[in-house]
Amino acid sequence: MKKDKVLAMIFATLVILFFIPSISLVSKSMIRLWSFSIVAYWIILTIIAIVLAFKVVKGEI
Amino acid sequence: MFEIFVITLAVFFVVGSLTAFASRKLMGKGFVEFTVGGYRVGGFLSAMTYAATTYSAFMMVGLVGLTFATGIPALGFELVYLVATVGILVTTGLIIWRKARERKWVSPSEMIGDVYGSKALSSLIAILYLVALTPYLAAQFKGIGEIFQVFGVDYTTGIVFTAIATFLWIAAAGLWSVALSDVFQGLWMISSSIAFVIWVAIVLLPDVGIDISNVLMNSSSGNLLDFTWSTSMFIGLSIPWIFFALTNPQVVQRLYIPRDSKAYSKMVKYFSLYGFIYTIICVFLGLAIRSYVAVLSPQLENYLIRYRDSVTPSILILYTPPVLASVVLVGIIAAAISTSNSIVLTAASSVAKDLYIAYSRKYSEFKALLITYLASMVMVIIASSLAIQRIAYVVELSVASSAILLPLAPITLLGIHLEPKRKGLPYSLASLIIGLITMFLAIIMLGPSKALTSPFLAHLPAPLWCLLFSAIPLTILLIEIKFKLNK
Repeated sequence: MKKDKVLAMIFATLVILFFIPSISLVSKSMIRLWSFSIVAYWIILTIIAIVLAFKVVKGEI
Repeated sequence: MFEIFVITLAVFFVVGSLTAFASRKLMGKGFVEFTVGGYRVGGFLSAMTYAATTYSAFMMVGLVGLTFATGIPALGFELVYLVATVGILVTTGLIIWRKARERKWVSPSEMIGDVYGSKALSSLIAILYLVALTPYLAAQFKGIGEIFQVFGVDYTTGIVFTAIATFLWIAAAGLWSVALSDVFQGLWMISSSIAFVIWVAIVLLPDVGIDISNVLMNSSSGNLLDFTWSTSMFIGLSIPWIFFALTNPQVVQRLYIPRDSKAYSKMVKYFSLYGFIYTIICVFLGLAIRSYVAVLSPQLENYLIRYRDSVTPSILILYTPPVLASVVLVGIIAAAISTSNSIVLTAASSVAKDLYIAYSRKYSEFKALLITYLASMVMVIIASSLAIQRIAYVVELSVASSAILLPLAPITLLGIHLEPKRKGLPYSLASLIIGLITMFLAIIMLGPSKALTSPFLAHLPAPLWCLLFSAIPLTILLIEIKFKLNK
């Protein structure tokens, strides 16, 4: 039960993190850093979520 | 071009139908077998039917066009859906899968009614599904009719073809034929899009010798690699998709079917990979096509920005070799049919289970199956008629209909985790009504097409307010439950 709650919290955090680039100041800073940084940021979040899901269904978490 | 398209379509239809009818060998007897495959579907089959049901023609038409016109925020919008869905699958989804087998749930409306201890709630939600999903179905049919027109085939012929394929592939063996044809269609969708993206990368782009990032950063719509959407649009479009796995019955019902935990785990893994690859392909196509068109024909670029759903069909017709163009367009048709038949089967099973079986003391399997067939047929006929009449607001109505299902998210989440039974019923009804009123007000005030994306209250979009408002009665219920537990 506690594990489920923690997992739900982690995925909810990952979802909320997707909205960070919608803050103009953040997206401008990211773009200044590297033109593909927003793309890379979203892809990395997705890969983290998928790897986490793989571990959950494998029973490693 | 016309002949090649017709031949490709014929191959698709024949193989799809053979697959659907071959699946009859897998099907046992009875209503539960027909609607949820007797809860004994394998992992690969579950994953492919989940993917093919979720990803409709929107991906290769809508998402490519959205990326073409507005740039990289479309990637965030589609990936946040995937992350949320994967999260739901490994948390609440697992609980739904376990409980569905214990309680023998067939329809998602039955599931919600069961956790709140009310048959009437199940019936109400079954009706809500019919109201919300018929225009969505009509929009899918309309899309296929328009693809047929591109190739010079009559629009109505396209609708009739879709209606026949949708119904036939359900009638063959219910969930089994839908799932097996979904495997075939899902593989066609992904392989045709991979072939298209390879062709774009190694033939189309080198042809004009462009630096994609440079063109995208200096496009006529601004820097397409930057966040070009308003916050309201991003939140408003994303929220219904974040909860899609809980609110749309055709995907909720897919959670019931894996035969064991191994099959469920395979479903999660394969679906995640499929969704990730398909999303990246569609977004890359949108960006690559924009760069190509911007260099080659700024006039066409301006036209396609205005009519963004024409991006993929235009590129296929104007620049792509006929065989590849036909294969990709049939892939788009496959995406629409695989979504449509799952919607119809789920809605029809809800009608049979929650409007007939639920109220029969001793129900007949034959009658339940007959009702499922009839409800499927009626739904397909109504959707086809709406599409044939080319009612302009069908697409708008289908967007609005996805908003109507959003209030189901909070009551499903709370219901599955806490099972408040009868004492939770007034709160769940209040939550549903408040959510529906919020979305209807947004549709009336902003219009169906902008109900999701435009600011509704305090510069925030209606879907967010819908969730917040409909969560109020459930928060009161939650406090009551905790208070009683502490006592």
